[in-house]
Amino acid sequence: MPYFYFHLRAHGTIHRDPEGMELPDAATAREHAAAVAQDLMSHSEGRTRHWSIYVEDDRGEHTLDLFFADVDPSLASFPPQTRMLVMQTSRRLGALTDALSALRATQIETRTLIARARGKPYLVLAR
Amino acid sequence: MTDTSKFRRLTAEAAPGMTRAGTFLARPPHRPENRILASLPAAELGALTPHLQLVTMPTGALLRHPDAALDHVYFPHQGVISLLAVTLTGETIEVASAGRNGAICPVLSSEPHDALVGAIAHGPMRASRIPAADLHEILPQVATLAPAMEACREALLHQLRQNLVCCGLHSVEHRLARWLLETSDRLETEMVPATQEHVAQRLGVRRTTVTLLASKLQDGGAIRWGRSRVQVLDRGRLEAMACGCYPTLRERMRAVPPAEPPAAASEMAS
Repeated sequence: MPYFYFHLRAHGTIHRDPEGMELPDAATAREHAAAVAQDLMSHSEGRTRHWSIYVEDDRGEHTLDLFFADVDPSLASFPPQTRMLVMQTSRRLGALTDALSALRATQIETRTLIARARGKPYLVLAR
Repeated sequence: MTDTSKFRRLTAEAAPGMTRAGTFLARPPHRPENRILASLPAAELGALTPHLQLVTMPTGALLRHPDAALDHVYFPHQGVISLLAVTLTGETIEVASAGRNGAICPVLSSEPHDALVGAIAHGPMRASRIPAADLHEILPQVATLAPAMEACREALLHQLRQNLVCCGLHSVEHRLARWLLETSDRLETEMVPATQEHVAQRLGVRRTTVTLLASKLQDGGAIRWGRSRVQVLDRGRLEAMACGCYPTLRERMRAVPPAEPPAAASEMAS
C-alpha cells in the first residue's frame, strides 16, 4: 500500500509529518486528513479554521490539500452561502499568512545581505 | 461487547523471590518504591505484603484485564500507570493515572469491561496490586492505609472532573501540553518514554494529530521528540501551551495527601 505524508500549514509555517501513514488510496488519505483536521480544530475552530493539510505521496508529489474550513463541523448549522463565504475567507487568510511569512523571510534575508555588503554586523530577531 | 481483542492480556509475572501463588517469599520486606506503601509502619506493611502481587507491564502497550472486572488497586513502584476507557469501535482515552506517589484504585466497585490499563515507564513498569475486595477486608489491620486510600479516591475524582472539563472544552494542543507536563511530573523526570502512538491512544486522537502538534511544539523549542521518548526542554514554554487544567489540578491534588510530587526536577529517575 502507498505511503502518504500529512503536513500542516498553520500561521505561515509548515509543520512536517516525518512518519507518514500507509493507506490504500488518495480518497482514504483525504478522509484521514479530514479526521486529523477535526482533531486539531476541536474547541478552537476560530483559531484554526484557516489552517490546511498538505498531503504528499512517497515520491514527494503533492496529492491533495485539505482546508480546515471545508470540514469544520461548527459551520454545519449555517446557510450554504455563509459557509461558502467562511470557507473562501479562511483560504484567503491562510494564503495571506503564508505570503506574509515568506515576505518576512525575504526581508530578513535582504537586510542581512545589505548589512554584509556594508561590512557591518547585523543581528536578526527570529520569531 | 467491546472489541478489546487487539489489546494484550495483562500478565502477572513472578518476580524473583515470589512463590507461585504470587506472594513474596518470607524475607524482610524491602522498602517498596511506591511512596504510599513505603510510608506504612513495618508491622502494617508486613501484614499487607502477603496479599500484594508484583506485576510488570511493558511500557506503552495497552492491556486488557482478564475477564474479571478491573477490581485491583495498583501501587506503582516505577513508572506511571493509567486507566483507559475503550469504545465499541476500539477508540481509547485516558481516564486517570498515577505514579509512585499515588495509587490507582477502581473508579467503581465493579469496574466495567470496557476498561484498559497502560503503563509509561523507563523500561518495564513495576507495580504491586491487590484485589480491592481483599484490601477492604484487610484495612482494619492496616490502619495507616485507610486515610491514604481515601485520599487516593479523592485524587481520582479530582482527575476525573478535570479531565471532563479538559476534554469537553479545551483544544488538543492544550491537552497534549498538559499530558506531557503531568506525566513528566509523575515520572519525576524530564524524559517521558512515550511514542506518538501511545500518546494518541491516551488523548483519544489520531497519531498524525500528535505528530503534527509535536512538530509544532518542537519548532517552538518546548520539547524534543525522538522515536520513543519526549524530552521537555523548556518547561515554562510548555506550561504556557497547556490549559488552566494543569495548574488547577496540581493545586487540588496538593491539598489531598499524599501530595503530587513537585514539578519534575532535573534529576533523572533511576
